[in-house]
Amino acid sequence: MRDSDALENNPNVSRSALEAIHGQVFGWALSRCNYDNAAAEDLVQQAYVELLTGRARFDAQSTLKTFVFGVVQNLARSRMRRLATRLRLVQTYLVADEPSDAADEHDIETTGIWRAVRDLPARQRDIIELVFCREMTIEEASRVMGVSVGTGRVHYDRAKKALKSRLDMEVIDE
Amino acid sequence: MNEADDKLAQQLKQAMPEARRVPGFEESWRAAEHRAGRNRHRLHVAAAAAVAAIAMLVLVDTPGPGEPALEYIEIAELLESTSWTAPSDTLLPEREFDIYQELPALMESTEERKGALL
Repeated sequence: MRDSDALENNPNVSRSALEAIHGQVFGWALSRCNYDNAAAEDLVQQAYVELLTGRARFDAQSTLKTFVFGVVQNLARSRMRRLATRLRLVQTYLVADEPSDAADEHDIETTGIWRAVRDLPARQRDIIELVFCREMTIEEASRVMGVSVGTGRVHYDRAKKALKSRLDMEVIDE
Repeated sequence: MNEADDKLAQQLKQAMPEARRVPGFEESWRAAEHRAGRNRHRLHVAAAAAVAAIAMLVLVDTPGPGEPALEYIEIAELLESTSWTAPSDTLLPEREFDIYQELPALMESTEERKGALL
């Protein structure tokens, strides 16, 4: 299948199909960047660059949404790795008593159930977000996260149990 | 998904933080095209710089018209004379010597074996 507005270096991707999922892709990028709008915009643009240049080539083995979410996830992961390296370097040379408030700059207001989600381990948090908020199946979510379906199911079950127990505890506290 | 899951999904969707501003697709797409073009341009510049550097290396390595050509030992010339000038280069300084005058001093033995000096 080749749409009339298919990308030159990615014949299975059309501009209109990307436009249809743009909002969801941005939402996913936003959650990868701790809800920092500028960083999410940058991440989405870079994902589109990967598609435009054909470095990320869609072979129609999954849905386009799953594929683009995977590209965003991988880009965010490699960016985080670079940032972590820089942070380690800074921490090595930083004077210990210098106060730093940069980390809280993009901290978002979270309450109740979403705070419980944010407290989950990263993989569990991701699968909960993908399945419950981004309407993906466990198989699709596992693909985005780069784990096997079996591992995805384990994360999903554990996340659901952890989330429910935390919510029950909050109800008891109230 | 069962009923409890559906309820949880609904609660999560409502609680999920919202984006302050979702950029339009056209805006993001144009920026991506611009970025891809810039990357391509950078790649071309880097390739041109690499080609220029290789060309410079080749030019520097090739001897120019003023430079002395490589010298080789001529066997016939060497056999006609007892004197030989070593071709000079940066590693071997120029030196002329007579092979009969500068024979290496060998240790002489006075021991005999089967009528001959060792």
